[in-house]
Amino acid sequence: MNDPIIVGAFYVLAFLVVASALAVTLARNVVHAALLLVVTFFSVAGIYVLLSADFVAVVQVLIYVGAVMILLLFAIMLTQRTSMAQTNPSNAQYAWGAAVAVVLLALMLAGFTGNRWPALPGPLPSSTVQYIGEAFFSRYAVAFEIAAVLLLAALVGAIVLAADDKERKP
Amino acid sequence: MSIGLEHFLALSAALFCVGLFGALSKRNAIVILMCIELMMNGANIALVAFARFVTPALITGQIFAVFVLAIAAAEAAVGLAIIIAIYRNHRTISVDDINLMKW
Repeated sequence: MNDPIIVGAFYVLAFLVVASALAVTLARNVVHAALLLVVTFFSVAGIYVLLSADFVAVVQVLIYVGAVMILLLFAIMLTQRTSMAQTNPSNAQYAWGAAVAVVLLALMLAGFTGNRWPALPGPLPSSTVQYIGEAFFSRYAVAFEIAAVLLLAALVGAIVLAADDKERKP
Repeated sequence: MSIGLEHFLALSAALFCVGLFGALSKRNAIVILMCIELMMNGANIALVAFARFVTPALITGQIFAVFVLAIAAAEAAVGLAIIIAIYRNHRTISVDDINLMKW
């Protein structure tokens, strides 16, 4: 990945990802945090495109931006009290949280450097969509079906938990 | 200057740690869920980077990342349903005030 366009694109997208993620945690207003999270998800989709993962990038946009964010915005709307101005405060463990995150980041960066993972031979598949589709129905079929059952369970559970139970009482 | 596996792993670590900082230090339960989604995105970047650089012939990391995406979406839905139910009963979503099980 030597092409200067790709290098430049990586640094721009990486800056967008980390900056908008930091802004999500530091924004004062939770609606601003939600909209900045949309920016983060789009930037992560851009990183996936740089990694030649076209299917994962499109699924990221569809599911995270298209479904999870809508859900989050609805939840924010349903749980608002008065004004949205100071709805994202920090708790008393702010400093400890920052310290733990910095220490973990230092540990992970120390563990990642150096050429630890030799590449296996073989070319990238020309169409990841086809490859992933075939893999889902051959090698990973059980996991695929279990994921479907999990999504059904989550759907039923979310409806039962969030439903207003005034109508069910006799 | 070239971009290798380490750059993507460093980005993944940074995104994960920002999400961890937010999950540990925010009071609004919805923001904590948002930071958990950030952590899962960080892990997904690492998975897809490994698929691209270490096992490009069988892109196992991308398949794993799609599963992580599905599970993260399901978990966000159930978590938000729980938060809405808590709000209905206690009129607050500040995790400092939801302390009935604290001894």
